[in-house]
Amino acid sequence: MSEEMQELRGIPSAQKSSDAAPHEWGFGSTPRTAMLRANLKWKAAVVKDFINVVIGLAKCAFRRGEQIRVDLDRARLITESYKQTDGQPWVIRGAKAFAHLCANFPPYIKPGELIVGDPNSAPDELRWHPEISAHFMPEAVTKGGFSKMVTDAERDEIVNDICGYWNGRCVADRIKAIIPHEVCPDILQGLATPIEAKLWEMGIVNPSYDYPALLREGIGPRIAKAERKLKELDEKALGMPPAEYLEKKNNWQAMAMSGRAIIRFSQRYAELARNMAGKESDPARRQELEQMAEILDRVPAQPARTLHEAIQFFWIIEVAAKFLAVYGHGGGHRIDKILFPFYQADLKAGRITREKALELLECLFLKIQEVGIALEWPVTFTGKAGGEIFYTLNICGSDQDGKDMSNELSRLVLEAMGNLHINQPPIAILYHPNIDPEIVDCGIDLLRKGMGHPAWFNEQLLEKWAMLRGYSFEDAKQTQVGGCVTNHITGKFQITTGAAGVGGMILPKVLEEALYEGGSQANPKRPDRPKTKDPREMKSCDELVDAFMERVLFYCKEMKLSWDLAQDVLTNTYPDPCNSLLLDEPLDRGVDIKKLHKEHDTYPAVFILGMITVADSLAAIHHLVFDKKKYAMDQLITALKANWKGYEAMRQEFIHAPKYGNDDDYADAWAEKFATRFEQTISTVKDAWNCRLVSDGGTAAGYQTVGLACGASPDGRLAGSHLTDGSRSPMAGADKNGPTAVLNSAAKIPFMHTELFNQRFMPAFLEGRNKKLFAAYLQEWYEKGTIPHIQFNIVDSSVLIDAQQHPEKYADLQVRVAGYSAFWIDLPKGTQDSIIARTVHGF
Amino acid sequence: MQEQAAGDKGLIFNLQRFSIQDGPGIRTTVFFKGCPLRCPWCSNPESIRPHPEILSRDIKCIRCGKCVEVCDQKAANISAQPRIILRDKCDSCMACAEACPAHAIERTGEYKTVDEIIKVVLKDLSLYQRTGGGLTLSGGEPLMQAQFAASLLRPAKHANMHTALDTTGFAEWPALAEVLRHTDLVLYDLKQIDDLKHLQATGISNQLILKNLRRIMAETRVAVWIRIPVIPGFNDTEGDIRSICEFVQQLPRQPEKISLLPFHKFGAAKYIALGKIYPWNDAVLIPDQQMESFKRMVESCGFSADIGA
Repeated sequence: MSEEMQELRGIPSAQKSSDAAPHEWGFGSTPRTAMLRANLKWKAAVVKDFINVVIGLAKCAFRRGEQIRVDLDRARLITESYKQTDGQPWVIRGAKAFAHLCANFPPYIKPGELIVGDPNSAPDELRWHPEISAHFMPEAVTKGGFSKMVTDAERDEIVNDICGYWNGRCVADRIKAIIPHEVCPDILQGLATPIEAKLWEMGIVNPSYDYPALLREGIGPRIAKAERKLKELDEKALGMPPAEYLEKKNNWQAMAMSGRAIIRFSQRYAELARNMAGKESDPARRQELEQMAEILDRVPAQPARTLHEAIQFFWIIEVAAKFLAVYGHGGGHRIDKILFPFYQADLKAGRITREKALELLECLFLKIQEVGIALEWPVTFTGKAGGEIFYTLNICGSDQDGKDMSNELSRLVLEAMGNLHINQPPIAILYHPNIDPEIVDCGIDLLRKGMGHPAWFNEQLLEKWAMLRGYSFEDAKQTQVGGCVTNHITGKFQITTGAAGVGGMILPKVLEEALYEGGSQANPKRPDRPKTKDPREMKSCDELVDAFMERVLFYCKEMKLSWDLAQDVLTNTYPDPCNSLLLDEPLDRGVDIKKLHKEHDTYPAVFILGMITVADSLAAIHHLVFDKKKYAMDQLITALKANWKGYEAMRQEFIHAPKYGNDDDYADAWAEKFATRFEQTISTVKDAWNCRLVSDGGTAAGYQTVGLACGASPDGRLAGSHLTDGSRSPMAGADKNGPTAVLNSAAKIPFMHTELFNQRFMPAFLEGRNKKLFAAYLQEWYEKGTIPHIQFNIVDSSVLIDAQQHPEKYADLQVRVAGYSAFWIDLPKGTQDSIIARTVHGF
Repeated sequence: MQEQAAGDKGLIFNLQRFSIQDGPGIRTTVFFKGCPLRCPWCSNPESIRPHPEILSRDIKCIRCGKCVEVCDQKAANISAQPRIILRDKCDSCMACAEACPAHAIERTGEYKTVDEIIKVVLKDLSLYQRTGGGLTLSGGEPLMQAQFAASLLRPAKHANMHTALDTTGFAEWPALAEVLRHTDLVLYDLKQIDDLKHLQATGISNQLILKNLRRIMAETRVAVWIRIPVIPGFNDTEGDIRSICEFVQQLPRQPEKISLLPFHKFGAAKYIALGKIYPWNDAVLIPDQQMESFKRMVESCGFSADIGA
């Protein structure tokens, strides 16, 4: 998350850390991609200030005066269509709205582009989804973070025409209307409570298709299949229950309509390319545009034959089905496996060179970079700091026999990212024992560039995760990383309903309640909350964990109710015919993908925030209150309530209490115990479809946002400061024994769910002979066998420069520059300068 | 000084895991406290005195006054800004270090048993095995606690670790020979062949150091890496480096490589933390090109050479 951290600190990311481009013409393997890269619009915003932290209203600014605007086209077209279809079946309304979009959404092609398609109508705009959630937008464009992103007329249209229509009609409003507030009063309270259960307000959908099959067949046969099914259905109509007949009929009709819409969308791009070719004076570009037109005429209706066709096929489907039809995020495609056969065939036929393939791949990545996040609440920009769209692409991995699947395309993917220095798409390497060491080497080279790519995933644990969720061995083999660290099983039903999980749980806030509201201190306004023991009467830290878990259970039950009801609304009133068409089972059965989701796996995930903040807090309480008996619980509670003000010496002792991440069993045992107890507790709750609640470590940059809403914690943290990042990362700066100690600590927590684990390294550790050592470190990580994910923050000069200017913030930053470590604050300015200089020289 | 280093305990000032500069592979380096040399450019000034000391860092001080409360010698004074420790009054009783909640005053130097240290070292055993790494003893001068050093290396060898000794070479031969019995690699510092210069700068003659190196080459089979800290104004001329190479060429056996370690000032702040003045603070760093040219010279003498960190 290095770039995100930089963004948060207001330091421009990525390319800043390495001013020298890899090629004389810039970032990109060819002048074409370098030009496209140079003209990119940067859509990652930094939240400057909160207007209302509880509802997530914030002021935000884009990078270096980048003028990004609210895209009205998508919202306007969707609204137009829905206004006309009132009263029709939801699935038909969805398909018609999508068709209206595909027929009218403005396409554009930038000079030099080879791969086209954008869910925004212009490169400097960001789309949004009023049909999912509209309530935040009027405020956001009036006084919130988006107010400078619209003209007065546009603001008026958004507030009155678009949101005016969707107010009370959008998915979120429909769900809100049925939540029984007396029974689950915390659901709509935002960051004022320990849970953020309104994930349906974001409407995230992460479908992943069987691309090898789609590319082989084209979507034409799928449309034909839907039409054939309709005909067969009519023939059987007499013998069928009317409800089933209607459902299938509507679904297949909607699917066929959606498929034709995608083809229309692609053809409109073909028309644009042909028009532009007609006006193009440069013969080379004219030829390119003509070729693009031919390709876009062909795919995705018909099978792809070449690498260029395959990439364009892939991208037009992603734009239409994932970003325009629904609020799609990542998909988790194994891009190297998908594209390799086309590359190989092209090479064999002499149609392509390695350089050309690399350029095409770079063209695709540049399109992905420019998609940007759809506008949600402005607070989104902190939660997804850095403009993360979780569009993870997977490479490597193994086949059924354990054979390495990495190929030349995997290498090209790594190379393309290294050339471009962009943050999207995140690259995930599926690591396994037989992985080609040369690919690992390429991965380390990419890491060395300091962009945070690639992240590394333990393939075996991904598969284990799938099997724990009840998937077959064969399906489990198709597991890959889709979202942040969330897994997907290609062609199956992970996160397709529009709610990515039951909600986020801000664990330090639960701890606050356990500490402040125990026994006679119970909150009189909330008699429904569990009555837990007064911490002042507790004899051990275990009792505090018990009280904590009682409260966790309480919130899980609230979240479960909200989830069950929301899922019902989503399934019945927000079907997804477009994605149903692209998956086999919905198409074969005439059942919407959201309904099938429930037959397979609803994945009621609890996104855990501040896991290690609480583990460290427990270790500190155990150490100073129960073990050493240096402070009474009452003193601690008083100090916490005062945000440690007036208790600085005491706070220092809590800061210096044993912390997770130092390979010290004293502290690590609390992380292990707490994580395990938490999972046991939440898994006792099942949703309406018999799926048990499960943790997900994919908290993105949420640890920073929700930290703002958290009070002081017993690990010495001050109120409002960030929590621990990830779910297995030690608190920043708390790990003092180096990366092997952190790894050992993290490995002590058993594998139970997806996790996010950040590590920080100095660039020098990835260079020269050290590369071999780093590869061994990765191997060690894999063989620990309990940590599903690891990613590296290669500390670069911008962080060090900030550390130089604000040493008080970095009292514990260690730089291991020479043969020994040094605390940054211990280094004289001249030396700091030399280290900063040396780091930059490395690039 | 209330404590003394007994045979079963060693005085250690740092245990550094994931060391990659002190020998092959990923290693854990144990830093021994106490050194017979007095090199004024030393980058680990806390390594010199053979007993625990306090390090005091103003930036971490929260001015709570706990150090003043516990100091019997009235060495801590918080009325000054920043808080000062009067070093001539301090008797290193460690009361302030124990009392300081912010760790602004910290103890450097702990008496540890072999078991305590080995327990930590073993935690990364699998990484040593993966990378050919292991345990390095460094300092300070490990041979000042030779008996302890040997008893630390013994179990490391039993666990099949690669072992290395980073030494100034200034020790009686029997002590050195005993430690070498459990050592796979010696990182041997050669600073200056001119004995007078050596004596003037480090406070000791180099005769024993040179003699010990000759005996290592003649009487043992342990692998040797020569390390030359290249110090401005002390040994940063071609002549200085050349004479070291010439000395090494005459040894009965050749080292695996010669590493040139460029002078740096990373230790400067630690002098302040120890209440000392850094004598080499004004020295000018040696330019990279100069180091490269030294390296070429060492190579031209027939050695494998690198520039270390």
